[in-house]
Amino acid sequence: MSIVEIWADTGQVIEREPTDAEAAQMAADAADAKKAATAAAQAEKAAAEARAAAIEHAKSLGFTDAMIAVMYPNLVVTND
Amino acid sequence: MTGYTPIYNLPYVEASDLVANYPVVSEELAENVETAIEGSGGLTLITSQTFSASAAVNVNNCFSATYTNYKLVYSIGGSADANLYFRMRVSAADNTASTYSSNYAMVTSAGALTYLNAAAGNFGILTQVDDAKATRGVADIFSPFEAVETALTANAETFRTNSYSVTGGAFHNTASSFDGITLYPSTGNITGYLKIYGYKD
Repeated sequence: MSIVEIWADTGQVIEREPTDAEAAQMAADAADAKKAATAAAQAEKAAAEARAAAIEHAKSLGFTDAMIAVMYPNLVVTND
Repeated sequence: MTGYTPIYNLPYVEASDLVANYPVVSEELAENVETAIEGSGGLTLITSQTFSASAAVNVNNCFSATYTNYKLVYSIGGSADANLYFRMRVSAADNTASTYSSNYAMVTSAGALTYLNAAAGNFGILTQVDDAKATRGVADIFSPFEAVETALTANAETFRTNSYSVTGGAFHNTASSFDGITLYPSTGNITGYLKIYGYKD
């Protein structure tokens, strides 16, 4: 993959391959990003399970969906 | 005697002037009009660049003592769903110290609210990109060239199933002087354009 290098003062623009150091940094960045995405997905999964459990408990106490939505708006998850 | 307008000091010929004076007055008029035009407006374009399928876009020597604060305007799409990161640069090299923190709220047209953040990392977050639609946004960059902490505030809009905004900012928590910035995706590559302007004081 190529890198675009721009010098704003002279207007020079080049497209080049990464240096060895840049390629190593890009690999490390990709690994960190993947790790962060995995952690975020796990956190969201845990949060979704907690929300579902809270809704189920509220319903066991006799609350309707409409009542839960009004009292605890953060428990109602709208999916994209 | 040549007269001068009160605001922009533009010369004009008066009845008492000789015809022979006109070339000098004309030249001075042209120069003063040019100066007045250049000095008007609040933003000065520093650089504008398109790119295609790039792993990173490095912009060098875009920050200087000429301006304190800058505006970044962009339209960028990704080859895949990705966060779009930035790092500050000095002398054509990235600053990779773990002193960047970022905080964003993302709201969709379906009413979903999520957060995108990173604390004390070696990158700052600018926005999100994906392969559906280009993300269009702006960012204000405060004091990048001064030897103080650099702050960035950003707002962007894009569309994937629903429209969504990415609003927030980032902070480089070390007093440093930077003369450039790089943008790169967390995965894949990026295509689009960026423009950097300096705010006139």
